[in-house]
Amino acid sequence: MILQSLRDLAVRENLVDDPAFESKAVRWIIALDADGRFLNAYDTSTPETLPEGSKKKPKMQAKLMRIPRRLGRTVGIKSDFLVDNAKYALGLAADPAEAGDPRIQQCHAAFLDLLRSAPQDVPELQTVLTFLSDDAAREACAQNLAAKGGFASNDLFCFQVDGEPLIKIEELQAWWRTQRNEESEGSLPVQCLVCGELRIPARLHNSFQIRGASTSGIPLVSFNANAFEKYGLSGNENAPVCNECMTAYTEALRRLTRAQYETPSGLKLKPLSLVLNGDTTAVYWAEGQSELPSFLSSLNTDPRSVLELLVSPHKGSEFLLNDSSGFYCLIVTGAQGRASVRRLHAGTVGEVAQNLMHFFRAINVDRYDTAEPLPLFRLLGSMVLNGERDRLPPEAATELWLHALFGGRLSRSFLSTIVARNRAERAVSAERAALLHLYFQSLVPRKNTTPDSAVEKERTYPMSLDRESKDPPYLLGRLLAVLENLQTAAQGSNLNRTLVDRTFGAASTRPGVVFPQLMQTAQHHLSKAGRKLPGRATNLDKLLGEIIDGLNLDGFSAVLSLEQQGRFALGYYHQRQTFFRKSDQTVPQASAEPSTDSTEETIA
Amino acid sequence: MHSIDFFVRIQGTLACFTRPEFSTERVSYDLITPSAARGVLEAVLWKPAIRWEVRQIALLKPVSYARFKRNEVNTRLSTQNALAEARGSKPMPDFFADEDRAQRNTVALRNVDYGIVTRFHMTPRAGAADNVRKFEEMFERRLQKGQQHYQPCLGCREFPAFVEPWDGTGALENESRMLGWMLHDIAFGTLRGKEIANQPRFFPAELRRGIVDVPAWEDATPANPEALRV
Repeated sequence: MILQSLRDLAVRENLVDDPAFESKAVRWIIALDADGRFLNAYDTSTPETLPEGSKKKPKMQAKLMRIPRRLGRTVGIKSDFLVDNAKYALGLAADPAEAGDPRIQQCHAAFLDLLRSAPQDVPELQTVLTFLSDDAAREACAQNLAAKGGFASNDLFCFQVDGEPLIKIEELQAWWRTQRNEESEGSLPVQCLVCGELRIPARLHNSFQIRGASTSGIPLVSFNANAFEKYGLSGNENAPVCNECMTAYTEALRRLTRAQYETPSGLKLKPLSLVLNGDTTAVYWAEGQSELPSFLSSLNTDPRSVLELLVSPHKGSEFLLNDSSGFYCLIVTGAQGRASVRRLHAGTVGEVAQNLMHFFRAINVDRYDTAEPLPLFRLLGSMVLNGERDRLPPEAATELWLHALFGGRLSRSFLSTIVARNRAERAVSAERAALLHLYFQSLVPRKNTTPDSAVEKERTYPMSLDRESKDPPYLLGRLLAVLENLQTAAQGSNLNRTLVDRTFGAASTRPGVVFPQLMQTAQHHLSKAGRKLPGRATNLDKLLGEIIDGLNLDGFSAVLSLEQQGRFALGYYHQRQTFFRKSDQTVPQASAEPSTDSTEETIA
Repeated sequence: MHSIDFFVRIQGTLACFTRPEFSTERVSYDLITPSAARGVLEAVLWKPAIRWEVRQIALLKPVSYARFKRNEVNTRLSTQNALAEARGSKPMPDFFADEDRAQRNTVALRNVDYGIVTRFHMTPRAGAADNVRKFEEMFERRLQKGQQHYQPCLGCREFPAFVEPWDGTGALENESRMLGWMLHDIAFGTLRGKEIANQPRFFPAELRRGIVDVPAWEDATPANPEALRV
């Protein structure tokens, strides 16, 4: 299903017009004259174009060229045709420490052998062979390269003779095509599991680059140890895929994951993938013409553009929500020897749009800038120390991403990460409050699964202070926020250590221990504040009364469970937010929300 | 010669019907494959005289996934060594699993519940005393009593299956979608030259109102059957 859909993507976007060739970034062009003398080595790389205002250092990107498809190699020596790295193409090592390694000579010999087996009546080919057999010329080339700052071991090299690149010569291209076809002969046709037809299965699957794997790339399908093989089949016979399907699906994967990709017709495509954290990448695509996938990576930094697409009258709302074309998302991690599919999700574009609307609504917690949706990187950063995403629990980023796209319940370990962070920082940030909302909202079963029933009433957790709530943990959270405010009223706002700094952890886990004591201090704070700011003190006293009333004072609960700690944090956050606002202002809740939520009903 | 249709219900808490393309880091099909269902039926009753054919697979619970990683090993036991020990010539060499680790990911199915419509055919190996009715009654009896030759499993040996008669109701009618090419079964004993090369065969599976119709094995043969028997 996944491979089929990837193959269809390659067909739809016309990624493979000739399976014997591919588009690859080639950094160096070795220019020779007609007699095989070395002229120059050109570096084709240019700094990437970054969006305006970006402070990132631009990466150097080599020029994309259409080259004979590389075969992919493992530990053995196997040369590619016409274009390869320095070891093979020139017999030079990138690292001076390796210079004397006899293996380099073997690699280079393999490259020469392949060139010699090509038709010899091409004069340009002879010129290159002359050059490569001339040690002095090669030495000149090496010095030229060193003067240009050296090269990396995986930089690709190609040749041009008298201004004519070898890869463009038709005789050589034609020979390469026949060569490719001959290779697969000699084995028997088997039913291909992608197209279902009887074809000769590919022996080796092409590789693609992904985080966590070696930089030269890894295949998605591989059987690299005999414990993985079954029914007496060996290697890729275990998953028979014909050469055409294999080329197509791998090309689609490359198109989705590469930062720069150019189709054979010269169309530049943006990647449809997002690195979630560490070695985990989300790869996604849609079957129709929908624009949604190309916007999804903006969830990370610029979610506003996604929201705008969703609610825009011409492209979004009705149009997107009713789109029933397929949408796929793979969570892939790079590993030794192969890419491993951690999760796979399939749905429709309409469902994803619907879920994203829910997501935006659920994270739109009361805060100072409700008009601007919270980006994924801030949400994830709030779950770890100093916002270092490498410290995230491995599944957290994946879980948040998949929840935004596909809905479903969030796990308790997700909740416990947020709660633990609240305790460690003794504060509830807007991002964490948003995540807590998202968690509690994810537990509420969704009624409106189809776009038409969006008008159906849906129970939601309130985004801002809920005065009606009688939920003890929520009230305790509110109480703590009021006590904190009372302390500031009594002792001024530049305290080194407020009572929240001292007690947040204990108050949110074992309120029975802390609150009786806090209530005593509150009396002192009240009388002191009463002298300094009588108006404010009266208001806070009233608020205290209101909350204590709700708690109906059968003592403070001894221990709060994980969920209760989450609700405690929300109560604290909501109450605290109200202090930042003038009393006559109403909560600006509906401002940034999509239109469909006008009929929400609130539960305590 | 084939039997009447039997209705069998297969349930379990975990299942992994591994897709061949993702069988190193296992990813399951959405639904039980005909060959996995055959394996479950054979645990209840199998004789050389009969061959099971799965005709329909009904989805009785929505598809949900579970993910986990396990420590496994990279190498297979050597048949040669095992034979040598059996002959008494030399003992098997020691194997230490912790020196040959491979951590592998599994995307499995959780809480599966299937209804299977199935029948069996008599094979050429049926003797003079074998007849369809005899095996029909044997199967019914064994299914009713919960008798099994060995513990049936859902794709992997560590995920046990629970088998009982099914009343034919409960398919999820609102589940309809294409599932892509799915493993039908393995053509065991196909020859490649003189060597035996088992060949997997696939069929385009479609979930229609909660039910997948499985084509007959003979119809599922790919377009060019000659190539299978060289």
